[in-house]
Amino acid sequence: METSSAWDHNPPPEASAVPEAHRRTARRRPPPGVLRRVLLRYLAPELAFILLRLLRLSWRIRESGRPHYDGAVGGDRAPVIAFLHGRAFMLLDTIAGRRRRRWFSMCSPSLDGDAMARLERRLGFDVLRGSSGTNGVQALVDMIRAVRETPGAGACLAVDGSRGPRGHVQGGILALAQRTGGSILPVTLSADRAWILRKTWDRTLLAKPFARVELVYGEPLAVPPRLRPEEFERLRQELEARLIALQGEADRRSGRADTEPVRVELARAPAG
Amino acid sequence: MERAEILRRLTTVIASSSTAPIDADEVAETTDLLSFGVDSLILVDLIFDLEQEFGVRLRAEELTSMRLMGDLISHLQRRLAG
Repeated sequence: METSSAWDHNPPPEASAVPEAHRRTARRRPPPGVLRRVLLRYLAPELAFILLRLLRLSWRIRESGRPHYDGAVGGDRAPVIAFLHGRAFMLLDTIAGRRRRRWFSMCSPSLDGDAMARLERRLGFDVLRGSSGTNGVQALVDMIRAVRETPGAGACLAVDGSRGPRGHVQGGILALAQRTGGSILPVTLSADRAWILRKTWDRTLLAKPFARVELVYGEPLAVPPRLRPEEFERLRQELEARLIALQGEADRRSGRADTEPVRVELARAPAG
Repeated sequence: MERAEILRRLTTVIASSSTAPIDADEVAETTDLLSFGVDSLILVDLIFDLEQEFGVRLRAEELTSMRLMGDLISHLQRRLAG
């Protein structure tokens, strides 16, 4: 259960500022029944795990910017990997396939988050639970401690999660990098043939069997341990811009022409 | 540790984490913690800075459940004694 208090000064965007298409998918759903809970919590992650492993055997994965990955993951400092939520499903499997680190990730404490957490654990991740508010802060603190205190650890974070808006980087990843490895590796992927779950807020992408997958690593972003608020915001925007550009590059390389923008634009809230 | 000493060190830690200008002479046990303009990311800084300063690991919900500097001082005193 999420908690919030007057200490939480980072409220979600005004409802009126969020486009209808996003509100529709992010709207709170009625409490799920027992069957749906069992399906989502236990069966779906197992099926997804098997599906991912089978699909991965058939994909032709082509990597770009691999030296950035090798530099970040092969160094002495803990790597912090950033990606957009819509590509997390495939990316986590790709990252987990490389056993050079003990990876920590974060999932929301929701029912959907339960399913994702179970899948990520099956993939070999250590999963911390939290999204926004006080439990999000605590999850971030736990993640920082875990990465610092575990030899050979690294962190992976979907930076516009857990509920969007799509393409809007949250500041947590910068706080994580400030107190761990000191840099963020942006990464994304795309595929020439893929399913896109259009009803999800993040437009989750899953490559079809035998698809050509373009995995693209960006240049790491250095994050100093102490930043003034305006410097912090400038770096947040820089990471957001890099991830969106990287996504465009991966889509171009794979020949995708996704009609939806990578970053959903928020309308201004009406005055008064 | 004396309350006055904890208050002094606590004020220094909060002043370095907070984005709001803080006059150390104005901070007392009755000062509302919300007046420091702590958002969720500053809260992360604060948790680690307090750990470094006092050697005490606080949880986010411990901090957010307190209203006044005096509450936080009492909590730290208990943790330091334990």
